[in-house]
Amino acid sequence: MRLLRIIPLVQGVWFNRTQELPQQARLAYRLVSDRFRAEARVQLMIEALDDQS
Amino acid sequence: MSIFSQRPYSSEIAKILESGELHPLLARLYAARGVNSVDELQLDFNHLLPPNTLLHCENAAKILADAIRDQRQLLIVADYDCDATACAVGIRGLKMLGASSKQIDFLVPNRFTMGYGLTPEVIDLAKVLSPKPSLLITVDNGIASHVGINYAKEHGMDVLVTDHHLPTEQLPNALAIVNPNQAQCRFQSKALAGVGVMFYVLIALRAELRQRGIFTSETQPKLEQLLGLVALGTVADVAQLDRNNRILVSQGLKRIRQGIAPPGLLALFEVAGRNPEIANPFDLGFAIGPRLNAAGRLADMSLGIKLLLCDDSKSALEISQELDRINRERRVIESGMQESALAHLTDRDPDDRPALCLWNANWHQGVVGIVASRLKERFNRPAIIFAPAEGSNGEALLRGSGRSIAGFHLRDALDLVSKRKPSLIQKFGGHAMAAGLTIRQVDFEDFEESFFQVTSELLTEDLLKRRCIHDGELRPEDFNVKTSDILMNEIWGHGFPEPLFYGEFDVLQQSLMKDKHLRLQLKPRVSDETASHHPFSARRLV
Repeated sequence: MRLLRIIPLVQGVWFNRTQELPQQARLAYRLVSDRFRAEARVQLMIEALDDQS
Repeated sequence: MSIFSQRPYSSEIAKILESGELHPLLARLYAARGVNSVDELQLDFNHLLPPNTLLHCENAAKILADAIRDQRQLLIVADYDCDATACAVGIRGLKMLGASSKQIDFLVPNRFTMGYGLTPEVIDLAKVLSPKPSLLITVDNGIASHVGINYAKEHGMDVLVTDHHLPTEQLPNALAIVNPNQAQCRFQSKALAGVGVMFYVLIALRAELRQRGIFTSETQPKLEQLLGLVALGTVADVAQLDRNNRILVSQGLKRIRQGIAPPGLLALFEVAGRNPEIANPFDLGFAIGPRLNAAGRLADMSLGIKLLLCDDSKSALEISQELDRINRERRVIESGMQESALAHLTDRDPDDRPALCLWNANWHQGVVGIVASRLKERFNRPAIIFAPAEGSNGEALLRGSGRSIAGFHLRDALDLVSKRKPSLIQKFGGHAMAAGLTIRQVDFEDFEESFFQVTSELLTEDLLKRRCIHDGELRPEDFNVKTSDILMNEIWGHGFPEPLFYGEFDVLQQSLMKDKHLRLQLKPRVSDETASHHPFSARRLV
């Protein structure tokens, strides 16, 4: 038996930040529904980057 | 640089909540916010704290019932920084309960010339109105207006105070004072906003009128239609969302979603591009509130009140568009002020000083609070921003607004400054996180020095550390609209923080949006711990 997790890709937005993120990042975020016309998808609103190692 | 930590919660309580049929994620979030039982999550109207526990609320109701019966002329006096909702709820509610249109009016003192609260200047304005008011009703102010209230009496006008601000030791000499924060009041929700206090007075008045046989439970006016305004005022005034306030907000949102709200409120949703059918607290706080209050910041609040009193959709839309325009103007002024404030700071490192204290001859009084708030956020230390003002004798003054960080009581700090140098601050007021004050322009440097002195004595290194308190990780299967819809359907806000999660991601793509924002494509990394030990993790067996 083998364990396998289905890992989805998600969209994220960080308002008023232009600085690039590292390729792996620990983030604090809010989970919101983004509705455009009839379509709804989940979106991460990023609030902070934990850059301490 | 922030310190990240998870908001603690008892897994035992989370289990109890979960066994009450609550979604496991919500159970964990509520447990971390001090909810102990599923019952506390019932937010129906009948769970509101009863009005008879709010001191003098029933007395105020009797006074109003008599005044309506005796055709006394009523005048609601709003404060410049009260959001328009408290005044609008008062006018609409009293009319629903029998006051005639001619019998009731409102007055909003000019914030730039008449000072705080019910001042003698305001009374001078009220006493020459025609017809002359005989009963003044304050909303969201009045508790500190001792002089003005006595002055009103001398001119033949009674005053009924409804307020929620902290009283001084000696209460003013009003006919009745309804304020959950007065010493003998045992009302359990001290966080009730000004609009909430007014709503409670109306509920009590309706009960009084029922008792007098004017209505029955079947025929009584539906004050519940005002709950949308109460919700807006509660959120926009950043009242702490204890259970009673969550009930008011939840019940208000429910009615807004059904379209049961004054046309002006629905029109604000329209100009903000928000859909009232899925209204949430975030809309009220960040889209609707700022537009409604925009006129009050730059000129006076009357336009906002006029909008909320308007009963015709077409005029409501026109006023909303005007408010939307003023709000854009407010944003331009605000960002200009913020830029010049930041430019001011470049020559000295803000990290080297305990607080920020700035003024500029071009800054606007109506926006100092918002700018102070942004700078506080950015530098994580107390900030006071001043704009020029003129005293009654033509003296050059500075009127300032300050915002503080958790653990530093701003009003107490100003109190200490004023005790050490009694002539330095002309007047001040406020609470732990926000305060307002007036000083002479020539005293600015003196004030700055004294305030920095007090701040460096009271602030600790620990308080200056930026903290990010989050709610832990999500399971990969929670990254979907079903979960985000569940979260967005709950009532979060001040004192009952919106969930903030934490996790590690592979950043697959990143690009700039409008040159201002980062747009990201992310893949959650699943830590071993989340996969195997995390109480809320699930595995998919293949």
